[in-house]
Amino acid sequence: MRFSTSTPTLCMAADMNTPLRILAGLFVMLCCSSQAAADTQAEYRLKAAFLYNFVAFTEWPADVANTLNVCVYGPDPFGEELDKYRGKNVAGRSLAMRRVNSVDNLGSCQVVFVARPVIGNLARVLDSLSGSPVLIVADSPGAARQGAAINMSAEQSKVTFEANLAAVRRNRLNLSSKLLRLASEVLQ
Amino acid sequence: MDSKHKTAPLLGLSLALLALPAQAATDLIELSLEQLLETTVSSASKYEQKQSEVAAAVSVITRDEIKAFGWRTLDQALASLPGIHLSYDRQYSALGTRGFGLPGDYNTRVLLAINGNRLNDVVYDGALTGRDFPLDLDLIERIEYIAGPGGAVYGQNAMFGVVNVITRHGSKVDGGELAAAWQSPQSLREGRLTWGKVLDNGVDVMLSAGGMRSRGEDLFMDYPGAGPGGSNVSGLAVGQDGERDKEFFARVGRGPWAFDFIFSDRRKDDPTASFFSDALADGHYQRDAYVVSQMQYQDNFADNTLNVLGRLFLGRERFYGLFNYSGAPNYATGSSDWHGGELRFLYTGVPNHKLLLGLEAQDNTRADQTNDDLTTPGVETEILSSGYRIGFYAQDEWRLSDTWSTTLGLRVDRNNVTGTQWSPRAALIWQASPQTTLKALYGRAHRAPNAFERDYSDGLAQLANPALVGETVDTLELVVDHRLARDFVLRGSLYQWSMQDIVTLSPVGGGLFQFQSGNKVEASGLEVSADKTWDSGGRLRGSLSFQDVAYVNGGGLANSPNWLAKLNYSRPLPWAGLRLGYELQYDAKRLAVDGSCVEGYWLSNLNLIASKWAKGLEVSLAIQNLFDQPYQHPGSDSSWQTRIDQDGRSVRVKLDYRF
Repeated sequence: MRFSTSTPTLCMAADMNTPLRILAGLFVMLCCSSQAAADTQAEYRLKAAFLYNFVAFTEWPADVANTLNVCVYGPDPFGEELDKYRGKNVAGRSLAMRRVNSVDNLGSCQVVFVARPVIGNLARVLDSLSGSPVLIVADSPGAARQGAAINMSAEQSKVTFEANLAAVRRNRLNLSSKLLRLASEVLQ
Repeated sequence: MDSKHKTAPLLGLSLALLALPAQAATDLIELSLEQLLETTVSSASKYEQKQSEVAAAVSVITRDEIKAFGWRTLDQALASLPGIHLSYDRQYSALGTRGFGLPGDYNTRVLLAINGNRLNDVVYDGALTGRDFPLDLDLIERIEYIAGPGGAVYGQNAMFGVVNVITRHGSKVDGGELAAAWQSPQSLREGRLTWGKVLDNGVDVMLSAGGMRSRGEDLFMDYPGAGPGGSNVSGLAVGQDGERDKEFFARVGRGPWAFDFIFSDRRKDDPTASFFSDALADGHYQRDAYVVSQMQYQDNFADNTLNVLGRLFLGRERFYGLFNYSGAPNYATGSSDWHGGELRFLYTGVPNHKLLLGLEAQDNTRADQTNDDLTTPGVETEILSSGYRIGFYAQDEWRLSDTWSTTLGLRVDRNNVTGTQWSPRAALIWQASPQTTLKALYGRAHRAPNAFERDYSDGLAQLANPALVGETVDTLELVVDHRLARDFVLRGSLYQWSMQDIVTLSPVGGGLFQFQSGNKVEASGLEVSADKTWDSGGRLRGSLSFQDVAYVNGGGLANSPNWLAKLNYSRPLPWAGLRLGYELQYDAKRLAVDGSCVEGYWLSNLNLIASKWAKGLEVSLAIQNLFDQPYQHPGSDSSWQTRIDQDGRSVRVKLDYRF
């Protein structure tokens, strides 16, 4: 008998790491079967490319420094995929990547990706960054409604994203019209 | 990338994710946003296929749901699942599962675990799910429930279901939390302080302490036959329904290592004068204290084809009960001490197979019961016992083709009471279409009688029965999972179970009772459930269960409603800045132990959460039994009452502050 971390049947909205894991036992929390790892790798390779584009299509205030720190808050699902964008130039600013375990250490971040296992702490992230020029990105169901600027989802084999324009503007940022046009939904 | 191609077929999946070519890794940087939106990663239906391979009907309750519905006890959360009904005798809450819920039972036929560590004690086999469950519900990340027999992997107690509660980690707290709640009319007050963090050295720490105190309600109680010469007594039981609880939880994890420690101490005053003690006497209570701890190691080896889990655990449960008999206070205790270990290997290195091998051993160093008339010197009854259990299990999940797979498993248990027992299971799973999965499941589970059932004898109420044999349950089940749309899922489950040698409390004359092996019980049932979510954040899940349970030689079982209906609806109310959770439950009529009928009832519960009023603060309002529906649950054989009144409407305000 196996436990799944979540079944699509009774657990669609909220659970972390949703369908990516299969577990092999009640007393086992098999966190990463090879298959799940392979799926995750491909998915997050694509999501890393999206994240790069989100940063590129964000209008940053002039007072933001020349290095944009892209922080992954929580267990890093990207692995090396995100590091491929290290040093890339975006609108005259270069990208740096950081992994952060606690909201206490988000102060130097310009982009925060909230990993699924800690999406329950999104309110904490918003508490600490509200009003600062920080782009908050997530890939958990409902995250845009809860205040993330951009939220990705993997549906029907593809990655789509929604934007929360009110949340973006609260943090003194703006998103290009092209990005908004391609979003599956824009919350005002 | 090689490892991806190598390992994926082992798990028997066609890799739709290869639609994203391996060499595309670097090219993605060059793609435009439009092109990225057209890039295929991995089919969602493949994910579902993987989930649907699980050879059981698994349900998961998430932290979000616990919050949305304002559940404060484990039984409230589990009652939202198909086929589960509750009964509360004002001492303990009991889970009925698939029509089985003997009044007075302490959930002995359900295995309850926290982070995989068993809570069922060794004197009573009890799995406590009310305030006596040792963990605050706010510390739970998710609750996993497997309906049906789990004996082929989990052994003792896993007869009708396995509940595993997964706690949050420090990383999921990331700071401090302070919670306080007030509930009327029970005058219930509770509080909790939690802190969790991932330290700079990578150690994940979580600590939590909490407590509650409740005055309860003044209940008008009947005690038929409790008066002089067998006359009836009734009256208002004033101040006899109080409850108090203290809890502490600590977890420390680093890499493959995790340690947890759980302490709880809950006392419930007893207005029912259970075990035929003095009616309306003050001071009756039952108290349960737990210490449960485990050290766990889990890691992957051999290119991720071998997963190794090792754990060492210990548990301690203390029961204390005070009962007055003819004015003399009688003090009963039950003391459980156990420890043990488990080693488990999961190997995926053979194509199309997933092999599981495990060994679990538990030394029950203490299973003691005492009974003491406090007005006389010395302890009248002292029954000291100890024992062991050891189980070996093996299972293979074998992918036969793209659409067919099978699971075969067997656990062999040996213990000091019932000797050697075999618990097999078999499953055949057919992915009939990308949207539809059919599963045929068979499983057997055993339970050895516990020390209370077998050894307890006080000459006042109960006689021992050393000849008591264990129970066996065989279950056949057909499960259909069908996905109507991305956000709309249906499940149907048709099952049959039969239990041999059911252990029940039986009168043996002279006002004495004894646990005896009863006749065969047979049951059949159907559970239908639906789950729909909306992108706006709403979710509706509902179920309807029919269950028919009876002794083969005639006669129904007490506390076994034929019909159960559940509806759980939650959604944000953006115009009000609130989140709403509403649940509706129907429990059909059920038999009481005297053969009379306890009426069915509808219950509504409502919860509203405001999270935007102040930074870091969540305020919630919960109304249980919204329409103040009067209803009753069946009492047990050892109770004066054949039916026990349940609480009317209650209102709770809760504040959660994060810092």
